[in-house]
Amino acid sequence: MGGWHVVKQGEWLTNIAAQYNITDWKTKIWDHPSNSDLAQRRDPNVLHPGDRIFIPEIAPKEISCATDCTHLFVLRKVYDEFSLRLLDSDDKPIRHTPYTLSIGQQTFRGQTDGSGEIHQQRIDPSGDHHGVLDLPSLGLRFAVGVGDLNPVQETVPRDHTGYDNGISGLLMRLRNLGYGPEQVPTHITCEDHLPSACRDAILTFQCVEMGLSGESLTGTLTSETRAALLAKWAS
Amino acid sequence: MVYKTRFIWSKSDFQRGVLSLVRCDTDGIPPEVSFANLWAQKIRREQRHASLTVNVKNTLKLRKQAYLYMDVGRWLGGGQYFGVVCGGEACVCEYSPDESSPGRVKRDIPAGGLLDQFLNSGGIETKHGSIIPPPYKGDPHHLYVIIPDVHLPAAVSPKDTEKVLRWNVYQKILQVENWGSIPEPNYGQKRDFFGSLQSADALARFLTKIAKFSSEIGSQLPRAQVTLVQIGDMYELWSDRPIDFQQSRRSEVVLTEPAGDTARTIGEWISCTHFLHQEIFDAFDKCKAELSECVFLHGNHDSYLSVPAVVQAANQRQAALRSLAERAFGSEQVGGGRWESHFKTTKIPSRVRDFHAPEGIFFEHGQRVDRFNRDGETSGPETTNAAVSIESLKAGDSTRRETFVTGASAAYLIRKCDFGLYVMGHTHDPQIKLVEISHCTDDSIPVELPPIDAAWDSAAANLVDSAYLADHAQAGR
Repeated sequence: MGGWHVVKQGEWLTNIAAQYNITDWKTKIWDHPSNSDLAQRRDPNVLHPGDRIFIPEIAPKEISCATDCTHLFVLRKVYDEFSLRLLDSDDKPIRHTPYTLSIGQQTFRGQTDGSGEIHQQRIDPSGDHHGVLDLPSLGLRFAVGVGDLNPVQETVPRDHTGYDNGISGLLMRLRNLGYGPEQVPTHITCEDHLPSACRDAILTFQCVEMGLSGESLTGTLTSETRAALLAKWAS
Repeated sequence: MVYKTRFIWSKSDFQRGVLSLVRCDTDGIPPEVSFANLWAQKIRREQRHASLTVNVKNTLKLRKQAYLYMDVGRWLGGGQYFGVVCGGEACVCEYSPDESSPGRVKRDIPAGGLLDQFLNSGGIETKHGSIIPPPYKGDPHHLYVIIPDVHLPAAVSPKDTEKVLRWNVYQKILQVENWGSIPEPNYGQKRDFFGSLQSADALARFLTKIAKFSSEIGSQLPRAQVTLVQIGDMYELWSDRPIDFQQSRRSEVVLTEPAGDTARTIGEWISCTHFLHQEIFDAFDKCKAELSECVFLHGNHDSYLSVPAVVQAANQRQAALRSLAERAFGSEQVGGGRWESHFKTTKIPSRVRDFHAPEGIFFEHGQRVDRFNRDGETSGPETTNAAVSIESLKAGDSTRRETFVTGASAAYLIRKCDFGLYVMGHTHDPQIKLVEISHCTDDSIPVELPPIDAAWDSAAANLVDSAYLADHAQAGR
């Protein structure tokens, strides 16, 4: 039988799979024929609220055991990896900086490495993943929402109430790159409806990072701005 | 190319969430002197939001701040520069009195708009231009025209027969008043320290053009507004003049004899300038009548105008000239006509120290960050007067951009980052550049500017070692 799961803000595929006690998320869920359309459009770690994922029915596993003896069953646990690069305002890595990262019930302490990066390999996908990244020597604290990052591709169908053409994902990346706005709406159907704080953030990015001037400086997410933003995010 | 300004915060205080020391440092700016400012500052730690995910590489970057720095240059010595702001654009332009030349607009300006119409109104060439970053909110229907330093002296050119006649009329009035002997037999030429007379006629013509433009543009663009800002140093009141203010550490002008005749004396200097250059000040009066707003700042060479008693005395003197001339000339002919034909009484407007336009533009003359020329500092006029006699001193002056950009960044910080465009004059060197601001602790760890909250006001009041920053703190409240 199975059923459809509607993605909520803050969910990604292993997180969703954990809710259904599925460890082999790729074979059982992502590669399921009902999800082929979504799998073509999406990274399983970057889903959009409103995306629909088919969850197949999982048959209970039966194991024969002898009576009058003890048996050890080991539950296979899936972990996700977390990777973050910290840059200063001039794009230089912030190296060897102490941090405390709290995600849900887990807390990690350490220092950024020589490339300004934080790597954690055992992120439990179950449960809530909101937390805090504290960088005391920088006097900086981030309220992190792991799984909150929206995709930059549009959602379908267009007439769905939760339709977003990728703008919220772009604005989230813009915010992570230090250009605000602090509040990003999660469903934005049209750039015309952007709050002025979002336009200011785009304008500042175009001015400072892209060096645009004159009429090419629009304060809107032109194709060039999208490309520059994604390149900056992934570089 | 951009300028970069770095604020260096005390690490030990930063870790406790209280910043007590801040030092400005600069990068990419021509060096002049080491420049350090210290002031007390309290902050509140506040978190930023980050949307991240797993199994892909995430990036978090510290915020970068930026504003546009515009120096509007000079209107003297044959260089007729001025600033224009409209919509999202800021430009430094040069005016040619030969308005038949179409001028040249080097930037992509929306055709048919207010800025386009003004820049193409004849004789205007855009020299430098740039877009203005937030928080500036550009209004395409509001044009700002910024007149830079003029240093207009109470002097005339010997070649200008009309003004030489005025000079002689004025000297006769002085005699009637018993102001003493005629001080300058050479038409006051020593006072024309910056060669301002060369560009004086062009200013009268340009101001008349602005007044006409403003009165006529409404028929095509009903929402159009024009604001004129004169950035200070309109008058040259230092060169070949006694210093009539006291040395002060409080960054203000205190007249040598506040209760005595000092204000009256300086009022006479200003009134004489108005008398000799009636065309310019008449054109300013036309602008006041035709434009939405005219704002006048004082600079260092005319910092006396920060004292209301001086403005009052200058206006009283202007008002009295007509009756004084009656006494001096009676029915006597002057220059082939009655003496009245040589009179046009003009107003001396009061001056402000700075001006913050609601769109997010901050105007100041720029002298507050100049330790030689800030208000109440006597070494500026002393050096000016020395340079009147010793030409090599004049040549030794430099633009000192490091000082001024750092000061502009300090103003940006203290004023809660409330402008996207900073406009100054003072240096006589026109320029537009983006200034990027970064922050780090004194052990070079990059940090962000903390959020600005209510604590900012109380902290700003504790500024130390810098009176001009205290001025900004007051203005930011």
